[in-house]
Amino acid sequence: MAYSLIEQESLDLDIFCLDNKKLIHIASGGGKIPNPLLETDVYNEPFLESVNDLGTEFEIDINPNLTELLDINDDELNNYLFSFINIAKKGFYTYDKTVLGSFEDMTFHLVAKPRHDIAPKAFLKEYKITNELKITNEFPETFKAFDLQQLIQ
Amino acid sequence: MGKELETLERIGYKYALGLQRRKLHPAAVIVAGKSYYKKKGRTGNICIDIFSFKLRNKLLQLGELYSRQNGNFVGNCAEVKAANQVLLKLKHLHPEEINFSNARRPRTMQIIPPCKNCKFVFNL
Repeated sequence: MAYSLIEQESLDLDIFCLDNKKLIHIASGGGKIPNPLLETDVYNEPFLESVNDLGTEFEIDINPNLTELLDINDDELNNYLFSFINIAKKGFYTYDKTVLGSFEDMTFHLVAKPRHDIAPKAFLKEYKITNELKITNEFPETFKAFDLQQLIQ
Repeated sequence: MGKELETLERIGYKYALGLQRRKLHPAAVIVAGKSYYKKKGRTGNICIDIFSFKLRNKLLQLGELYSRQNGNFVGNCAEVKAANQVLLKLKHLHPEEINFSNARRPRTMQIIPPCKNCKFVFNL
């Protein structure tokens, strides 16, 4: 089916994929997502349920630049991080849309990541997650904002 | 901020926080109201048949419903969904007379600025 433009604008989608080194979660923030990720609609919802059921609890690193990048204070930061921390602790590099309210803008930033490397395919096999995730180019491991459209074409 | 806006803001914040805790993530939510009557809305289209006449006419000044104008789909915003319910009940009101809370993204509780279409329709 693929996500329609109206779905992309109406929903803050949870999108999952992987590159050679890591499991990746992207929060769309009601913005446009690159075409190669549109077809992930076939597995994102059931995959999210599998992730929520995972009992894993990895140590994580959080982007230290978020208050500056998003222009929020420390209290707002706690609310901001709520869902991302949960996903990162499950073993995912979790990325978020940087500029809200601008549908076309595809600037994203890394919010949080597991402290130690996790082999993605071995991880999925170990936890018996059978979904075939979309494989993408290498996502940034630094906390700098980047253009998702340029990364995934 | 007036008392009515404070109330709208409080309801809107609580609504967004509730969705966040339940892991429900529409792109944005908002509360619209006038006086005692307040309604919540979230992003997503609504049936054309249930649009308030005044709101529909104002939206049509931008373009066809759900066509893309100024970077957004006309009628798809949380503001429209919330305001439509208020206008259907309080028929004497015009769209620009409705008050709103801040629009928030439930996943992160961030405030989302109104789009150009909503600024025009509701005079924000």
